[in-house]
Amino acid sequence: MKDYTDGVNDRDQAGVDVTLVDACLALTPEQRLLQNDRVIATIQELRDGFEDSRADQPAD
Amino acid sequence: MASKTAGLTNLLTELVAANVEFVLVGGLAAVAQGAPISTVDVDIVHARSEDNLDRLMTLLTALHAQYRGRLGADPLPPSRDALAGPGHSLFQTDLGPLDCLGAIEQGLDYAALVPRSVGIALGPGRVMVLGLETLIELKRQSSQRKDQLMLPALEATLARRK
Repeated sequence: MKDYTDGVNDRDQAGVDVTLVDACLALTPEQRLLQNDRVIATIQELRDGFEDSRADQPAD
Repeated sequence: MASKTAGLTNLLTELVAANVEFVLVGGLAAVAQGAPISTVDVDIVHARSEDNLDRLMTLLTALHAQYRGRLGADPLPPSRDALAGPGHSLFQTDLGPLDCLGAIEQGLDYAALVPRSVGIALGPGRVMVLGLETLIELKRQSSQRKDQLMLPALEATLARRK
């Protein structure tokens, strides 16, 4: 029986997580593009937050 | 146009609505076909006919496109002459980064890429996307490290799709 608990069996020989591949393939092309937009927006929010936190820190 | 929400999908939608003839290549082409990666720009190979250059220039102007290397105090608007050649014009637009490529590896231009492309639905329109097999072929031939890094995800996507 497949062991789902360690994640190792969900990767191909190159280490790609095939569960993510399958999840992406289950979407329509437009849904995949919109998902990429959301990822980029999230990355930008994190970057902005990081910059804000650095600005809040007192200078050495 | 500036009121449109920034986002690569909206940028693609605007290209389609403007009747610009292009093939989507690069990372977003892989995303559209299911690769579990993300990318921050739109790469297109555009048709270099006079009519298409007119349509592309009109859209770029409406989107306030500027060459990314010349933002800020010394902006450079799109050059029609540059877009008419095989070189690469890298723009920042109101909706996000857009790379307009006259040709890609091995001199492949719009006419050469269309037969290797698939059509995908986007809203009421349709986008030509360079097929995953050709994307992989080009990445394999590339000497750039970033292309080599993307290969396993593309190959896994092709394998799982079959």
